[in-house]
Parts: sequence; C-alpha cells; structure tokens
Amino acid sequence: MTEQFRKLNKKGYDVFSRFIIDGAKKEKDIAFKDFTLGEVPREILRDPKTSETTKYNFQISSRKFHNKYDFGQYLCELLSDIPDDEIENDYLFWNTLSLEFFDNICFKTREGVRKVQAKEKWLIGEGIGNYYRHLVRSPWLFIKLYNETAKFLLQTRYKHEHLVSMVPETLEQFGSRGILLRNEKVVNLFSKLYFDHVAQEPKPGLSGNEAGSPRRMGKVLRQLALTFDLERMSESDLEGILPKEFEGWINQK
Amino acid sequence: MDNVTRKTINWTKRKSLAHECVEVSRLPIGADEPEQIDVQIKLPKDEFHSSAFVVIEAYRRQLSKRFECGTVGDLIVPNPLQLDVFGSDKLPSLRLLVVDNEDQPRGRLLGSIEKIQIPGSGNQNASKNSLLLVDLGNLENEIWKVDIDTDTGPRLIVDHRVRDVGNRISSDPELCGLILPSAFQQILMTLADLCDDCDEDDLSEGWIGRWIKFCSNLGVASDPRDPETEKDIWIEECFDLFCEKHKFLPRLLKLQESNNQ
Repeated sequence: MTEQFRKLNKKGYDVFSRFIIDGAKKEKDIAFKDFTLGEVPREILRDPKTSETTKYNFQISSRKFHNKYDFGQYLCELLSDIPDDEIENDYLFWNTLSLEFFDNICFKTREGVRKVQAKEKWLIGEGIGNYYRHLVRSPWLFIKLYNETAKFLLQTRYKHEHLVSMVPETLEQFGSRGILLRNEKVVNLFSKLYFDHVAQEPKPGLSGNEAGSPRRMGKVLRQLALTFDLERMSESDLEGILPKEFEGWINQK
Repeated sequence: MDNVTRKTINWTKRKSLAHECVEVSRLPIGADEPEQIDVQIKLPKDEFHSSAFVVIEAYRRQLSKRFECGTVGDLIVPNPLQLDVFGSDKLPSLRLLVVDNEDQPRGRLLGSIEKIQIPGSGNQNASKNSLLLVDLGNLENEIWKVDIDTDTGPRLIVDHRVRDVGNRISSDPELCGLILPSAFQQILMTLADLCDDCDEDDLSEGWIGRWIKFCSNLGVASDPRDPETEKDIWIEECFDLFCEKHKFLPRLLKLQESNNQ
C-alpha cells in the first residue's frame, strides 16, 4: 500500500539541519568529527508547520540494503513514477529522504549512538554543492545517469555491515572533480581503468597520488579540458589523449 | 620566486576570444523560480570554420550545465537559458567554447572565452580586484567561514548578527586576530592544491595569480607551483609572514593594555 509523501518545508529543513549541526555542540570538537546525535526528529514529517503534502505516492520500506548500489536500485524503483527533473535538484525532497532513511544512512553503533563525520552526507543545501557525498541522492542519481556503470562509483572493496552509510573511496577520489562525474564517457573511462568487472569492485591500489592514479587522472582531465571539449569526445578519443602514465591501467585486464 | 620560470605552450593554437563577443542579461523571474538568462553571441568573422560547434557552459564549483548553441555558421542559442541546477544563493560563471568538428580527435577547442560573469552576480568587479571579499550571512551556529569558489576566489562570510561586524572585521584587533590568520591558512591550503592545475589566464587575471603575488610580496622565497616546493612549508612560511606583517598578537595585547588603564 502506498501513502502520500510528505516533504519538509524550509522550516522543517531548518529543524533537521539544526538536529545534525547541534549534535556537534554536544561534543567539544566542533569540527564535525565523531560526535553523537540525539533523537531523530521524525515528528517534523507529520507536523504541517514543518512539512507539507505532495502529489507523490509511495511506500518506503524499512528493509536493510546490502550496499549503495542495492540502495540506489531500490530508490530508482521507488521513485520511478516521478519525472527525474522534478526531483533531481529539489534539496528539500532529498533532505526529507535523508530523514526517512536515517536508520540506514546513519546507523546506531553497538553503544547505541549515531556518529556523524561530515554533515553533507545527510544534508544537502539549495544549490546542491558537494552533492556527490549525499547518501541518498548520489546512489539514485548515478544509477539514473549510468545504470550498471554506477557500480564503479557506488561499490567499495570494504566489507562492512553498513555500506549504505559510507561514501565509497572511488566517489571520494573523483567527487571533488564533480563536473567530470556528469560526463558519461569520462565515467565509462574511469570504470574501464579502475573497476574490476569480474570481482565487481574497484581495483586495489587506487589511493595515493602517484602516476596513473585516479587522483592524477582528475588533474590530467582538468588540464585536458583546457584544450578539448571532453563532452564531445568519444571514449576511444579520450583514451587516446591520455598521457603514458595511464598505460598500465589501460592494458590491465 | 623570480628564479622559477613557467612556460605555457598553446600547442593547439586555441584562440582566446574577447568577452565582448558575448552579451549576457538576466531575465525577470518570480519568487522561487530559477534564474534565467539571455545570451547573445557575436563571433568574429572568418576566425573559425562554419561547422565548428558553439557551446555555452554555466559552472559553479562541482555543478555545470551545458547549452549547445549550434555551429559558427548557424548559431542557435536556446534562450532563455535556465540556470536551475545552481540554486538561488549564487550565480554561476559562464564559458563559451568553439569546438572543432572536422579533425581527429574530435573535440579540440578552437577558441574560448573563460569566466564570463552574469550581471549582478557580485563577482564582476570584486573578482577582478579584491583579494578577499567579506560578506555578511546567516551562518546558523558558526561565527565565520571561508567559502572558496575555485573560479572567482575566496569569500570570508561572517554572521550578520555579530555586532557591527562589517566595520570591525578590518579594524578590531580582537576580531581580526581571531579570524584572519585562520581564514588565511584555509585559503593557502586550497591555493596550494589548485595552483598545479591553473592555466595562463588564472595566473595573469584570476584570483590564484593575485594570491600567489600577494604571498610573494610578503617575502616568501618559494613558489607553490615549483615541483621542488614542499607545500606544507610554503603554507607555514606564508602564514608566519602574514601574522608578522599584521602583528595580530601585539595589537591585541596593546588593546588589552589600553583597556586596563
């Protein structure tokens, strides 16, 4: 059975963001590292002062998700009746889903506390900066954009019970060059070079700054973008203009 | 710094076009509606072959939106351009690209105009002249923060509820001493990271060039773009010299002393 989706309004967003940010004040370290959160303010989704009804109808499941790709697939299915461009940049919509899925994306430790490392994983502002870190919108967005290739951005080599609450290392590596993440051919190239398609996880050795590394790739592509319109290039053309330092990854099976 | 020679070779012969080739105007919008702009393009005659593609790209930080505008011979700007992905808090910058459609590999840039500012974006004069813009904002629980737009440069945002902050930020030894060194350090860290990637325009006209020159004028001998430079040490040197120049602690102590008398 589906139910009408209630979305936070600006006042509700303020309450939710204060809930995340005020958590920081409980600890001496206000650098948003390692602080605990209080009770999740779920009531703001029922209060007409802080949320409003929408035309959307769907039923959110309380199931657990194996990983971010699994979560993203679920979201794509759940939101399949809604036109993408209606919600893609609606920060109130995604913050509402943050709150709805809070148990998945901000799990309780064995000691019964929730920990937050970076507020942008839960909160997304108007203008959607740092969007790649958002734990609900990113899985949905990257599967919408790239289907199965999104695994490269959403899967991780870590084995962890709460993968949905983590930002995968590949996304951290490439996210700061966010414009590249909107270029399908670039993402296909990343996936070809750095994703193990048999093991279905990123290849080992992706961290670091040495020649051929993903971090270098981000810098090299930014420099190449001064000379080429990367959007208009084919994947093979893109591969062809990469410097020799990437040959090892290109030739790796 | 003078002993570092940097050469930039424009081996693809990309033409840097004048900003006058593009005219941008903001269109009226209703409350809660996304920004819309009208763009008129006038490219110089006979500079490019008529089949070259023309593209306008709006960008801000990690967001971008692309508008295909036909070809040099058949310009079709899809006005009005909707800037719906950027939110209402700050307008993006624009760039115009003229892209080769004849030779391999496809996609070579034949010409471009970088950092086109939208009227009323607040970045136009400021980004040309200021080292650090100071804005008032609503920061919830923070007193201040540094916001660095990699295209237009850093802004120091101070919460508007701090009493008379607009005047005090440049004159009050307490406020200056508590905010500016730390803000300066944050900017240096970003600068050290970005300066490897910057192009000729960034250095000659952009905020990165202005900041590197500012640091050089402080008396720092090394250049962050030099591969030999240890960036952490460069940051530390700049920071020490900045604090020495502005005498943050002596000024604060002097104020305390005069308050006690």
